[in-house]
Amino acid sequence: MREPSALPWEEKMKKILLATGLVALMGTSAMAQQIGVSIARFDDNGLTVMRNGMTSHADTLDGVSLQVEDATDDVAKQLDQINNFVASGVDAIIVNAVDTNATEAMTAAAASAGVPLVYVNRQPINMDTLPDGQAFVASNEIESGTLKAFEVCKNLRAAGKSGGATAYILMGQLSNQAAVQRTKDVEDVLGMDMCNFITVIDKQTAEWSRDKAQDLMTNWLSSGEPFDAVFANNDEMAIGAIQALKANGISMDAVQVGGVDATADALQAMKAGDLDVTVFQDLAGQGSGSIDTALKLINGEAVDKTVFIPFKLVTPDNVDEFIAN
Amino acid sequence: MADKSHGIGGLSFDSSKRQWPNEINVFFALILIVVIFEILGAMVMGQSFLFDSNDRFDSIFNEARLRIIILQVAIIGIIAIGVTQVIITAGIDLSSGSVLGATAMIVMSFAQVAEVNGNPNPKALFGPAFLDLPVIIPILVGLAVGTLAGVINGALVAFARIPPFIVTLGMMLFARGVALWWSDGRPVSFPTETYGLIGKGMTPVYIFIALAILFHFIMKYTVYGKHTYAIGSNEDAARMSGINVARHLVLVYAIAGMLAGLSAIVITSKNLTAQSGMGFTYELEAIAMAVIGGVSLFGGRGSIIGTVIGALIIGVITSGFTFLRLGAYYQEMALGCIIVGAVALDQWQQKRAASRS
Amino acid sequence: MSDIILETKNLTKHYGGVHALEGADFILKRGEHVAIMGDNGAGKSTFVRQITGVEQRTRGTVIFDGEEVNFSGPIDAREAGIETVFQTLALADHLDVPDNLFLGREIFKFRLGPFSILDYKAMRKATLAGLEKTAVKIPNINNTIQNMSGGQRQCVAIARTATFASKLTIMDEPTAALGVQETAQVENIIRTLKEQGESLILVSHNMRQVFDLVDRIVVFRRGRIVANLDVKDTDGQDVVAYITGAKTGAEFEGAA
Repeated sequence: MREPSALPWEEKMKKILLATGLVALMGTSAMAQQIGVSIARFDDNGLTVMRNGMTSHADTLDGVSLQVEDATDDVAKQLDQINNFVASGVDAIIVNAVDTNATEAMTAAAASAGVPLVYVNRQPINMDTLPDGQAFVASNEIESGTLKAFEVCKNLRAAGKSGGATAYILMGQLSNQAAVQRTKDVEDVLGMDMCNFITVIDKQTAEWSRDKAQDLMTNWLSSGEPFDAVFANNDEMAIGAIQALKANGISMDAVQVGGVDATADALQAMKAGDLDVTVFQDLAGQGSGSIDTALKLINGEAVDKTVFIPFKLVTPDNVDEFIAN
Repeated sequence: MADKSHGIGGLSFDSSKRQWPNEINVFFALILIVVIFEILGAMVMGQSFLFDSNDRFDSIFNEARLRIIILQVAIIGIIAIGVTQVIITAGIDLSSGSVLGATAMIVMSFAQVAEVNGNPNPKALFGPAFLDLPVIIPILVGLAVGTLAGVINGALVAFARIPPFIVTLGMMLFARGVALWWSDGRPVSFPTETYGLIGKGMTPVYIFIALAILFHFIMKYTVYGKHTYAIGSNEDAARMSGINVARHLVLVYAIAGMLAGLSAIVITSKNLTAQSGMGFTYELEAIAMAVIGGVSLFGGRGSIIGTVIGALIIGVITSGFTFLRLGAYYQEMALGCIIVGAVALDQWQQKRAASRS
Repeated sequence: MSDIILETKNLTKHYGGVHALEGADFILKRGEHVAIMGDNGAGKSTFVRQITGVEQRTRGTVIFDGEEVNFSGPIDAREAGIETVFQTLALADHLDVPDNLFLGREIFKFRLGPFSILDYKAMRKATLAGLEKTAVKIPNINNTIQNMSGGQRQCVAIARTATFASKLTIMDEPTAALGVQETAQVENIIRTLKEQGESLILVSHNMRQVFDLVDRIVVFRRGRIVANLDVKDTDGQDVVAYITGAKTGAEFEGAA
């Protein structure tokens, strides 16, 4: 009987070569993880945090390379970028949708080419009907507005205004699902028994912009209508409102201002006593989470269709934790 | 009476043949729009638009409303003053908003305060040597950057003979890229307190009005103004009369660029931040102000006063719609109609004047 | 001071291989009105362009007011005292009469570089004086010239020359685009200029106009001067013969 170790030398060599070849092959395919990323716009505070979270996370991973594109708020351009990614043979696509109502076309483009696609941060309209190989990583916008509205409501009660209070709502771009949802969150909370002592005077869009919010708030102030709170869909608009209030000599103690995002500027504003409530959206976490989900999809692993990364309420009590990061 | 100071050869001075300045019409349009909002306000809101119906102020006017009407258009108004001059030369400047964005990012980086709420500035872009700089430095940097962009525009238009639309379109894209590149899309915030004074309160309005008065004077009473109109009216005639058209155009675009840079300083001070998306579509709003104010895109016609009134009209509409609690979309539709209406009215006026003389 | 205001010797202009102007010897006396005539492409406009410095000549000399000159551009010629009234008028529609008259040579109250302050009063005064010289009728000089008739605009252009005390006026087809009444207006002004002793070179196709206004006719053909006629000694048919080449002036034998 022949012993296995006594295989002819050539056979051994073949086996070794084969094994090496396989390892090398596996190695090179592990090297070539190309992910195409389309961001709604580069010039946005929050989205930049998310984008940087993606790139720094990708840097820590071996053999993952990102191609990041700016859709400059242009729906058509974004679809073109997706198609370009498909054509250049990327392994996966990550999309931060310009218009969350227009995601069907992108889903179709990726699905028909068999390329995994992950939506990040902005909830696509087809979230519930995503095909295999596609997923959604974000924070649940139902949380953001709700957390903020409850906290403001609580603060107004504590300030003794439960007999009746009025408020303004500053909305973001209404083509963003986030703006629509966050506004709805506030209105839902204000509709509940606990908080229906608060009535909304007016809600208008300031397009996420600090300057537009400042001017809009100043316009509202010129009508002389008394109010107790300002709900802003994002921190930039909240800061704009604060600037307007301060410029018109209104004490920040008399008005509750709430935003969303917990940007660096907002945290400083909170420390200074101007901003009362904001909500931390772990955008960096969403960014790195989307990369991880994309890689899982590439490797054919099972993933949840929707991965929600929780929002965190930020108040003067815990603001220092967030500044440290 | 035969007044020989204007007529020759025995003809008397016919004052009825004097041309009516265009600005009067634009002013009447402004009054008309205010009246419309006043009426709608009484019907829909039970409140006055312009007057102090709740007796919150000493004067009969709702001062807060008057203030915001002009404050919200002051910054784009500064840009519009420069764009007006460019359009009068029969040119156009599409780059103002992007130049504002790029300048904003650069300027704020030189206006950084060292400490925020007792801690080091989290947004400082350059090292500690560039913190708490005297406010004159970011101001000079801002004016220089804007002027540089303008000089490039002017040189390409005047010497390379590339159409202004193309040149400024290219600059628009280029400058926006610079704005994004400067801090990789990250906003730059927390300027020094002195810097914050520039955009504080009604100061942007004072700056706007001061510049309007200065450039009104320049356009009407200096040779620069005269030649600007001449070049726009008939560039060949200007050249044949010995005017250095190329050099003049560079100067005009440089001034427009400088004013865009100045507006960047004011807006970053007002908002205490610089974002790479700042100024987006401002060039179009500035052009709208000029066009509503009677500036002709074909050149040779228009005035700073007209542009200021055009700016006020836009301000009134913005505040009026908020006053009536109407959405921003109706505002934009109304603005579109007004721009076309203003130009149509102006052309009709020109035809009438031509047939009368 | 000689009484010759302009003299050219052997003035020649070649555009590459094309001999647009060849050996032009021309004399204009002070106060003389001379018409330059010829068919299209005969060299009339080329001749004018060389004299006014719009182009640089290939050969020959130009003597203006007793001095040999070499104008680097039309502004040079203007400063030396040659005023040209172009066919296209070179007027800015949106500016008023004084603005147009003084375009490029404004009168200043204070010199501040490009922001020098204009002296409107002085310019208005000078404009009225200039208009009076030409007896032009304009109801309100502060109106833009946009809505003025072609004749009035032409008169403004001509008044420019009167205002700046030019030594020589050149008019290139001044009434080509005007109606009968306006043409008469312009011709009146030309007569006024003659009375005031202005020297004039008139390029014109209009035979009747030429015989009404000038002292002498110079005919160009194929780039050369082929006739130099006193109006008293010739008539329309004669001139046409020179233009078409049926006849050639005695002293120009050997020309084309």
